[in-house]
Amino acid sequence: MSAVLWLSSARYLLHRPWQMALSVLGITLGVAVVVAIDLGNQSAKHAFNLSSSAVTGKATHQIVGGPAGLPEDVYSTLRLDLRARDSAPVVEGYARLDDGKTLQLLGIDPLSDSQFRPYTGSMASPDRSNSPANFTTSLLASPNTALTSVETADSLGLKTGDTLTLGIADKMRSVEIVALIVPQNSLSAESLRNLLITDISTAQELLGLEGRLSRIDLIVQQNEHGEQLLGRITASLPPEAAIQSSGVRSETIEQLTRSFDQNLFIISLLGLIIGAFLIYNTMTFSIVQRRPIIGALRALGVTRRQVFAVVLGEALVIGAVSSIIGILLGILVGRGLVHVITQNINDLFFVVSVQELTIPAWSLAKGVLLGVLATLTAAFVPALEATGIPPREALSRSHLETSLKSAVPLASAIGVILISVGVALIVLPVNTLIFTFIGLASLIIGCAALTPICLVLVSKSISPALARMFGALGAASVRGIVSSLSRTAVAIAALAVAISITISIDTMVKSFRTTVEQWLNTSLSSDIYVSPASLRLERSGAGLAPAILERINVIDGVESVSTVRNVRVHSPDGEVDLLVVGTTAERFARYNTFKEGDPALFWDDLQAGDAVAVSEPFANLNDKRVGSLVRLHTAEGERDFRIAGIYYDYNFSGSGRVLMSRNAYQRFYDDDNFSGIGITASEGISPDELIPAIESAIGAGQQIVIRSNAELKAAAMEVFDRSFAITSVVYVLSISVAFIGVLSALMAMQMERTLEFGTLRVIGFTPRQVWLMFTSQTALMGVIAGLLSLPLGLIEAAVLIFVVNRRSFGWTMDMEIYPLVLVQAVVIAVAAALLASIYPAIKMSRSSPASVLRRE
Amino acid sequence: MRIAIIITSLAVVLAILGGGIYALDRNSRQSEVSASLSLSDALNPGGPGFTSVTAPRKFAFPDDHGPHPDYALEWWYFTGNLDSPNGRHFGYELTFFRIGLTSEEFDRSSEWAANQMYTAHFALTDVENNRFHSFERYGRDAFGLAGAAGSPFRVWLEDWSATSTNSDTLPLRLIARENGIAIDLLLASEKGIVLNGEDGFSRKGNSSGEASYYYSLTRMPTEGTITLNGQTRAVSGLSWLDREWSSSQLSEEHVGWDWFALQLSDSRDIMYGVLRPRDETASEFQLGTVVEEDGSHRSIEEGEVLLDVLDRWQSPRGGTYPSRWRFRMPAEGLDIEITPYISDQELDAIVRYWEGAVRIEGTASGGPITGNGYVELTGYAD
Repeated sequence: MSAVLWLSSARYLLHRPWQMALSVLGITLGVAVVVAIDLGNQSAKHAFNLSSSAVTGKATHQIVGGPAGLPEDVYSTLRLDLRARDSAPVVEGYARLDDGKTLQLLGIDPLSDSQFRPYTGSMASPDRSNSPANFTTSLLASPNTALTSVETADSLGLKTGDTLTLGIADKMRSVEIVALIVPQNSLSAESLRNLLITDISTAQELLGLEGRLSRIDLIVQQNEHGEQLLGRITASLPPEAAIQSSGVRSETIEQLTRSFDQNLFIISLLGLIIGAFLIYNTMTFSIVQRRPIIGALRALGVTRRQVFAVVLGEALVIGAVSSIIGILLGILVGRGLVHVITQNINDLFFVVSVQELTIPAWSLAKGVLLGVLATLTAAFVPALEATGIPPREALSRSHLETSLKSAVPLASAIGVILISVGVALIVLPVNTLIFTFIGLASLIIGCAALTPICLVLVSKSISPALARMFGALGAASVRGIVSSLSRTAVAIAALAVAISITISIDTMVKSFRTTVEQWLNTSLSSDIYVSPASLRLERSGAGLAPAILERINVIDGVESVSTVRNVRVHSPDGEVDLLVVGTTAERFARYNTFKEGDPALFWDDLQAGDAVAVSEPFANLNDKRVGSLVRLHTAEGERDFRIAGIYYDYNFSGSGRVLMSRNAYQRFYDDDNFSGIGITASEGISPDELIPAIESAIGAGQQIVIRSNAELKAAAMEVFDRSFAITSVVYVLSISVAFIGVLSALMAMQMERTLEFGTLRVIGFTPRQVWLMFTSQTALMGVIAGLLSLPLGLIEAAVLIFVVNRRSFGWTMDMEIYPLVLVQAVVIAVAAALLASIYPAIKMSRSSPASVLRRE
Repeated sequence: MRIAIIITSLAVVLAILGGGIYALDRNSRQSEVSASLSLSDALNPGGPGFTSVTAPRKFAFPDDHGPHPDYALEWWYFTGNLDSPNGRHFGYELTFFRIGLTSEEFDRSSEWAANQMYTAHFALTDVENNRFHSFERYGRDAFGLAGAAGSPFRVWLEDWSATSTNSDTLPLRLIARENGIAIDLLLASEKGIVLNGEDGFSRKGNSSGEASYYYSLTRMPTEGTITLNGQTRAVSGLSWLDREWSSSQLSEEHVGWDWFALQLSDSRDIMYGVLRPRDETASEFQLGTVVEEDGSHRSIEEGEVLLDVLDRWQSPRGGTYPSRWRFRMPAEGLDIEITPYISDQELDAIVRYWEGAVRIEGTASGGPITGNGYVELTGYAD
């Protein structure tokens, strides 16, 4: 018996290949989006971890200092007085190539490094060069010498003995490649990519860090002896230095990318919701179509449980097949996406180069799990409904429609309950986004459940008007929608949900962009900006030397100068981004980007080093308020700073930033470089006149960029747009899913109804009338779905903006409603609907009334 | 039943998928990051510009105890045999090598820039337990991490050091510790400085430049402590210092050397070395010095020493070393057997070699004679 059951199910599905294909496509695209985004993220993270494992090596702990690193004699104390033999000094930084690529510069002591980074000290296999070059000797004793891996050299077209020109901070330098490292496996090769290794002396000289170390790596055993050693080391360190476990570094990275991950994950889940709706639509539709078969089977003795199992089994097969195709597609899309994500990370956080897509098992498993779960969930209700079909009588649809109409109040009640639960979950003050997501899903399903009642209400309110305008035909087309509610409601709900998601993503990105633009306008108040020619905001990089500021200060036409310094400092809880502002009290008081606190009142406290301001994300993500304390590691040891103000900041800084005045910074940190200088021109002098004077004051050959206010804003917006490029990928994908899904749903439904329309032909309607009625009905459904999607889309946008973004990035944004986005949504809905009506309409007009009657 | 089918098919799908994923994933899970970069060639000193050793020179002490940076390679080689009061015998080696990296003078702004590096070896032979402990370290001549000075004398690599305890160079204090094993010794000297070869100009081959400056302190009464297994013992005995500098290593025609530093119970000391030819038919190159009780000394003539290998030892790390010798020197009336205190005294350093304490038994002019010494064997490791 059961075999017959499954065969019948298989035959049904196989006889509707396009219907099958389209519903598979829905889930496939949903899974693909989830998998692609996840793979992109994972690949970037994997690449980062690899390159950081090449750089961190086997260190268990690190001694770190302020923004300018550590004084180098910390190392000699460590080796000579504390006999901490398992220690290695590191000086690191970044160097730019002519083509804009960035290399990581790692300065090590080859004589003490072998146990940390085995590749720097293991017994050699000879390098590829023919020269008898004694390269370790060259590396140690000759200035400006470096090593790279064979792969890196190949990609740069270098061989042993070649010279490489590097832009470092504001200077051009060159190094000779004295030998090549031969990685022993592909993983090593990947981790050494874009890494330039030099002796510590060369690194200090190239980076201008003479006398300083970036950090000291330690291997400390996890036992009592190790604890004692750590204690002795800690006691010997100068106040500016601190010891941290190596894990902290990777935690910081996690923290940095987490907000992006979360945001993208939610967005990709929205893609999956669309897919699930399409499945729901398809399954419901197939149950409706098969009522006679199922009824007959029930009459033949098939149990409810068996029917339930078959329907869920179908869903399982569809889910599994779709998920697997989705995974494959996701891997393909991920390949493209990984570059977008890498670009993001390079723009915002750190230099990472991803050459290959990493395919972690968990990402794929997650995709399958989500796909199958979404399908099963979506099929659950139709399966339940199938079990309710009574045996024998292939019940007439009118019966069904009556029952569904009577179910409208129930559906509405369920909808209201789901919406309430959803809202409750969304506003629940917990910091896990999974509740937010479940809440959002529940809200969306709840809204979808309200579709039937909306349809009934719409039909009641507009059919008299349509009857007046178009006569019986007009009224009939509206009532037709309501009379076949079992199919139209589902299709319209699916369409509305799909379109609403595109509205929400579009509205979120546009709102965010507007907010950032306004914020840039208020926060960038200088006329001209001078910064090092770096690809990104360098944290703790060498930056601009103080001499440049002095030279700019004396130029005629410069009214005032303010400075910023972006550095990363240590705190007991990990690393913290510091924004150091050098300006005057008057200018600071004019900054109107403060959310809390009056800058005019607390500038003195900032200057005195008692207080700091923090960015809104910092306050939100670290749960701080005005008056709370922030503990930072300074040259005077650990110190608490009172938070005097909270300012808006839309930089992707991971966990937010702390703003300190230049005065205080110079007291607490040993660093006089700048990351940027802002120049205000005197009255009557245009910035364009001033730029040549600044250029000549700085001198030729410097790696410095001078930009006008407008140029800097444009550059900032460019980074913003790039950061959200990935969102537009999701947007395009969800629009495609929505469009294709709706197309399939409506087409399937209308194909089924050709019979009904055929009957109209028989009773005397002309083909043109039938065609008109059919098309207008489909278009009307599109319009209704489009209109329903508007409030739903805006609600979702609000959740994204006020809940998801706030929780993941810590930002407050203004939500703006863009009429164009809404119009576009309705147009897409109607276009999809019209497109869906073409094929059934053609088919219908070709069929003869007689054949229709015969089938009836 | 249906549920079972669903679960089974789900399991099958997941299993197939899982297998595929595992295959993909395994690819990205290789072992740790590894690649190679040679440190061993850093021990290949020289390059152009270092001064060659071609003729005798006038030695000036105490300055010549210190470093000679014009030459590419230099060492301070301390070895010794020590006994604890309850009769335990120990051998030790503490050696500092100075390696000239470049003779060029660069204008460098980093304190880490160095033209020299040091490497040091510390070894302890624990005869009672048949254990040999050895350690190696490196450091650059920068930043106080490693270095040497003549007056007052000091050579050090981090916390391993040999230092004058007063302005007269002697006595010297030797300190080394690693992994719970330590020596802290005070070395005096019974005899004066012995200039080997032609007044300290020691040929190592037949062509010009294949030579070194070489002096020794062959009998240094030693007192101090050895720490082992958490226990510190008083020890006393005799040490030997070899000092040598040059700009060339072994010439191409030689594959390695056998070196003997023998301290006899009649207060004579003998240094004897053989440079083994790569071409086995070629003759070996011999050199040596006999030091009398009063410190007077003479060079050993070619063919004066008859050396027979009585035993061989197979290193577990590869290579076969000679391991027991009959050493005859008719002109001195000597016929002795030289036996390692323990077989495995091989240092698994970046250049592997055998350097170990040996026991001497035999006859001198018919009467019995004993003694201790150190033997160095290079060029045997695979």
